[in-house]
Amino acid sequence: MKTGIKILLFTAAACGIFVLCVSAGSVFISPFRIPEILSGGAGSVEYRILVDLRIPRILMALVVGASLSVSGVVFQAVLKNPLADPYTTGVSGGAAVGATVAIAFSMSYFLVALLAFGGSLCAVSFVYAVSRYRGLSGTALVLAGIALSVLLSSAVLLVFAFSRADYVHKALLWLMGDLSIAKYAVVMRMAVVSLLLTGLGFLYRRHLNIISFGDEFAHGLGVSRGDIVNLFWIASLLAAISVSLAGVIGFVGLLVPHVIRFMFGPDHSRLIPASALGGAVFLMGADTLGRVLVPPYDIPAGIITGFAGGLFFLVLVIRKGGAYT
Amino acid sequence: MRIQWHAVIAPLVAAAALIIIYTGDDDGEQVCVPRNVRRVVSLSPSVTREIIDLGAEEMLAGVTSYHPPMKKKVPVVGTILHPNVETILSLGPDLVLYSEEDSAVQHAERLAAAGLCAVSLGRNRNFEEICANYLRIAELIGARDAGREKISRYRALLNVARVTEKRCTVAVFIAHTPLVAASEGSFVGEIIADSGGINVVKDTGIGYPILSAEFLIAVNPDVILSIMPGAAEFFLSLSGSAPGLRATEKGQVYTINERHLAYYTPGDYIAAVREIAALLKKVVKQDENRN
Repeated sequence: MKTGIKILLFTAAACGIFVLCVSAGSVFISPFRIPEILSGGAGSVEYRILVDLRIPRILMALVVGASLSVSGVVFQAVLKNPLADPYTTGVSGGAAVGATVAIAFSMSYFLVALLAFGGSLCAVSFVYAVSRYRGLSGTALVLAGIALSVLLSSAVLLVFAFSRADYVHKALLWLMGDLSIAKYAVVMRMAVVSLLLTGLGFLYRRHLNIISFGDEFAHGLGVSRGDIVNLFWIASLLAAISVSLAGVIGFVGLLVPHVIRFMFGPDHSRLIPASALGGAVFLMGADTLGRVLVPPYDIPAGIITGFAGGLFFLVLVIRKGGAYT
Repeated sequence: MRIQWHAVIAPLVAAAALIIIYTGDDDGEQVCVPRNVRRVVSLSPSVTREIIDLGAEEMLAGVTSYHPPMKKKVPVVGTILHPNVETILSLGPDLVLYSEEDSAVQHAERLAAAGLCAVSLGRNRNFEEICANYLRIAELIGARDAGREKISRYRALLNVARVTEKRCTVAVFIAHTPLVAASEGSFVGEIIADSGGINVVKDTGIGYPILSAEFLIAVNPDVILSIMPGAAEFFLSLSGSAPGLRATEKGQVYTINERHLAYYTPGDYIAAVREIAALLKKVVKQDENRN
């Protein structure tokens, strides 16, 4: 199938899923009634459900999903490791410690996000510093990230041990990923920042194509260490902002690039925008599934993406065996 | 292509971006004044129980999945940890009540953001705070007189049930693995104090600290109470490798009814005090007979 047709079909499917997600929830609102409800004013319950709750949440899922997916694409290229994801550099661990401490001290949502962001930046900086000592190799980055993640997980458990039970629950919910606290102002501003970072990443699309051929080859074609550093930070910041606002939502940045690469090929000029759209749709779908599976109970998006990601890679391993690269 | 910003600047830019994200994000404090309340959603099992106690069960339009027994089936709006705001909105309540005990997990600010009249009730650290919250609920649902009458009665009952003379040391556990105790500063600790017990787990700022078996043996209480089933067997096996736990040697380890400890209501507080006071009185009498 030609790429143009694939893009059209993909975009059409994404729009269809978006409409379905807006309609679905503990209260199903027919897509044909949505324009009427939105133009009817703020009086009706359905208007408030759509405008105050559902749409900001879906928009948050779109932005976070796109950010995590693009972050995954960049990390997989820079680290030359198809199993790298946005959390490889310890972003989630650092954010988890920051958020858990903030929650244990009963801080506001803003401070939880700020400390989560600070925590993830500290973790990324540490991993960067350690791997730089080893020449910024992919292996050094991954190993430093894994080591730090183990340390930070223990730190989170330490905070749990001394916290009130309800704060532990809140922190656990945060760790599962929570899109329900989305607000328009936050989502819009995050979208601008994510778009900027994604745009910067897109500007490096040719570099990303070259990097995958190996360090010496890339260096020979003009990809400098500074470019690698910039890409590292673009991907890390996309992940850090996503995690700080929506909690730890796994597998988006790991699974989506794989699927998109299968559909559109490895060229980053298509891979980056397609992964952004794919990640947005995937997370939006996962969040909606969590809302409708067992109403009125809300299953956190991170649990849905975890199941989906685990199943996907299980199937991949079974089908491809040891031949997977 | 080279971008001329250094990796050090990037985090600063991102931090500024995050601050920008939150600039002017303050929704401001919203004051909600419920009028003619007919439909109430309760996000706290204790609040639900108090509304029932006030004779206003028919006002309940929605409750959380963990709720006390009720005469009629009321829609469930989700769990205590994560109530579903869409479901709450669809029930059209005049008022949503939740407790500061649970709001940490409920993201209560979402309720106001959805245009709901949501009122928070304060913490329930002792009987006085429970009574204050009870009266507040009564006022909000238009049952002020009934609430005042009930509180007067509850205070009188507590005065009768309360034991002022402290005669034995007590440790109360709410979990066995790990050993989680109720300290003096906790809600359960207040009940122990009113029941005539001396809590061996002092207030260190953590209401329910995790203890080691060593600590328990060191403080060696006269009585061990637990809400977990099989407490006698558990503490017997715990002390088996380190003899000297007085409570197990004298058979003074008891499982208490957690039903009353699970709810922060005046009635349940008094029922818990009565139960534990009776237990401790029995223990003291047995000790006297032994001597």
